[in-house]
Amino acid sequence: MSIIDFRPTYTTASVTAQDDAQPGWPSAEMLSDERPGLALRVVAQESMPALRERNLRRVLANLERIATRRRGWDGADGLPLAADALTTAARLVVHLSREDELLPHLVPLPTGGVQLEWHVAGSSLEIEVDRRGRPHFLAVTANGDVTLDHEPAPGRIELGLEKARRFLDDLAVRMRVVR
Amino acid sequence: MTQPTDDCIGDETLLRRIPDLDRADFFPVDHATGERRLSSGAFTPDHDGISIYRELLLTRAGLDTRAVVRDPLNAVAALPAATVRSVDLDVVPTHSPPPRSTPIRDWVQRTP
Repeated sequence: MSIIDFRPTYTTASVTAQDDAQPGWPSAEMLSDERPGLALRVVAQESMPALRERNLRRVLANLERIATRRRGWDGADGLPLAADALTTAARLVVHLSREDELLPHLVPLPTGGVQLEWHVAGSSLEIEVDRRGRPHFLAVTANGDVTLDHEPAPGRIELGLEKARRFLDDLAVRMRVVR
Repeated sequence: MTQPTDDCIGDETLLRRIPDLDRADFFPVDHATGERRLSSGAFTPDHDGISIYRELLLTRAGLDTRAVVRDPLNAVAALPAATVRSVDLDVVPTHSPPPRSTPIRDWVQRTP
C-alpha cells in the first residue's frame, strides 16, 4: 500500500468543508478523507495497478496546482478553488481513474469550481463541479447527441459515476480506433 | 438581417477574453486527434451572465481584438451572436460596465 499525500495550499480564507457534508459517495477502495485540515489523503492499495496509480498522482498534482490559485487568477475577479469543489473533484478523479491514457483535463472555473474534461474525436465528457462541490455530468457524442446530462441529488453520486465510467470506456475504444 | 445599433445587437461578432493561454488550462487536447479545443469552462457564467465585447463597437472606436486582452498571453474567442441565440440564450446590451472593465463601455451580457 502506498500513500499519495495530497496537500494543496489553500488560498481560501475559510475552509469549513467536512466529509459528512458530501454524503453518498461509494466506499472507495483507496480514498480516505482526513479532514478537518487542509489535507486529503489518497491511499493506493496494493491491488491498484502501478499505471493507474501513476495516472492518479499526475492528475492530483494538477488539481493541487489549480488549488494554489489566488483570487483574480484569471486576470479578472476569478475566485480561488473552493474547498468543497476541491474535495469533490479529488473524489471524482479517484473514482474515475484509469490505467489507460484517458486522463481528465482540469479546467479551473472563475466561480471557484473546477471542470473535469475528456475529449476523444469530437465526443466529450465534462463534469462541472461548482464551488459548493456539486457535480454536473454532461456527455456529448461527436454527432452532438447528449447521452448524459445528470445532476445527482445529494448523496446519490453513484449513478453519475457509473454512467461516466461507461462513457469513458466508450471513449477509450474510440481513442484506440481513431489512432 | 437585423441592423446592429448600440442598443440592438444584430448578427455581429462577439468577443470573449480567454485567460491563461500560457498555462493551457482552457485548451484541453483531444486524446485521439491531438487537437486543442477551447473548453466550455471559458464560458462559465457568473451571477449576471457572461461578459463579452462587441467587435462592431471596437471597430467604431478604431480598436481591434487586442483591446480586449489584459495580458499578452490572453486569447480572444470570437463567435457570432446568432450562434448564441441558436441555443436559446440571448445577448443584451448593458450600459453599466463591470468594475475593472476596459474603457470600452458597451460591453454586453449573455443572460441564461
